Amino acid sequence: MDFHINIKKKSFVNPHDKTSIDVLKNINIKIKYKEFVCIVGPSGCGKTTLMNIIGGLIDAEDQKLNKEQNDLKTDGDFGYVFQTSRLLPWLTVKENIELVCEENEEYIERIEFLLSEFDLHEFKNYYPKSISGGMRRKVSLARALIKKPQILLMDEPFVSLDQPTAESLYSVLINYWKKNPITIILITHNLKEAILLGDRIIFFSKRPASVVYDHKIKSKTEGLSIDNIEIQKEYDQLRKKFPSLLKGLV
Amino acid sequence: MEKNNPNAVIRIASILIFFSLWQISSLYVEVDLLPGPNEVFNKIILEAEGNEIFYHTAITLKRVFLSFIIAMFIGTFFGIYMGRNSSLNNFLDDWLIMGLNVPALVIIILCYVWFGLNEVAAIVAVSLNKIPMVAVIMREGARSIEKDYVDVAKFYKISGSKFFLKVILPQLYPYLLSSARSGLSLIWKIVLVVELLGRSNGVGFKLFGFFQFFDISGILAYTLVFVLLIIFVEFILVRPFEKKISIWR
Repeated sequence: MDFHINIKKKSFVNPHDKTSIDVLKNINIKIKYKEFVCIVGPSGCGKTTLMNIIGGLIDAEDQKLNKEQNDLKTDGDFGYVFQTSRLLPWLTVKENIELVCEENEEYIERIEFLLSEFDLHEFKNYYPKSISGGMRRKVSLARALIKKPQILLMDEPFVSLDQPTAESLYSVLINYWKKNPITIILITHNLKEAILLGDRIIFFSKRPASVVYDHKIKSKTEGLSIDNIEIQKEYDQLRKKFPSLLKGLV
Repeated sequence: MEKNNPNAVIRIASILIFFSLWQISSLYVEVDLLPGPNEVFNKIILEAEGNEIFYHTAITLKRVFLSFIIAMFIGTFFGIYMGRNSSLNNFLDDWLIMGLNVPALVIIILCYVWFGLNEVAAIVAVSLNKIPMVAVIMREGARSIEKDYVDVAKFYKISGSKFFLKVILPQLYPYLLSSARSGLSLIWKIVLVVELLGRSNGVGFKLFGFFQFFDISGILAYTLVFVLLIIFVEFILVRPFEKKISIWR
């Protein structure tokens, strides 16, 4: 089942001078079922706004988010790994995951499964403050996957993590995705990360953001390290092709 | 346990210094104006023998408890609502300012005039005095609710009760505790005034009697017992609750 994002315009009104700022304009993206799509673009261009529109947290003018012919409104269709982990600090790891699902047999089993899958079992009764940043991201990912979403939204989930931690999270994500293929939309500032993980990279322009280039990733690597030579090659080609577009990206 | 010992020593030393200063002061002041701790403790024992101190303290505690519950419930409800709804906040903001600034004595007198010298008037008067303060504190609490966490709840469409109990309420606990603490200390002071002005029992009523007979040891005896009770509530109920809800910190 393909996923079609069609947004005519999204503006925000500045509360100080009441001026309107266009953030997104004519966004038209078709994503194939089980495709891993990465979105890259300059800071503040509207990527998170797009995610929030897809996730139903904000509305845009004339927006259409269609999964074939059906509107995606059903509870559990989406999972969202926010830019910061957004774990509730007064709830334990397990309670944070439980928060978003019903308390029934199916979910109890699923929570146990995800805790084991993501190596979080021994930390399930820890509070977020007592675990590392990498683990908090894993919990956030587990929470996003608890309802078996068809589409997983990830807003810079690996930002500000050191490379080994980020790579261990890549492997958690990719291992899950290989076993349970779902559509993933990932926002990142790290082009190598996008090349490593994604099937496609969509490049956004400066604000108001629109799609300027849709790139199908060619590199297919065995491991999950961004220091791979194939990734470096594709990275260099893209940088050469779009020097101004990729200014400011890692 | 070892870690807490220095704190316990400091606390005990502080209490001992307080009573020593009291004792020393009483030696230099006329004994009728400032009786020493001994005289006050003797007065407490005397009042306890006829169960009078227990009766009047229990009556006052009942009034404090009822007014506290009513004020906390109504103040919390309106405070949260005003913090989350700007229209209601605009509508009630001036009422709140008025409520905060009308002297407690005016409300007490008006309640006694309107409802008569009865229990209902006493409880209503105390509660009305406290509600605006609870509402103001809870409004600040509601305004400080983290939008990021609300977005998580909104995105995952969690149920209303779960949203309130697991997402909103934990963020309001510090404000609830703060308003409960300030509420308890303010309410019992107002209850005494209410009892002094229009009731025939309670600590306030007794204090009025002691005042008329210039019995300072009686005034201090009842005051000391009541303060000890409030400290007991703080240590037995409020602090363990605070510890429990802030364990994640």
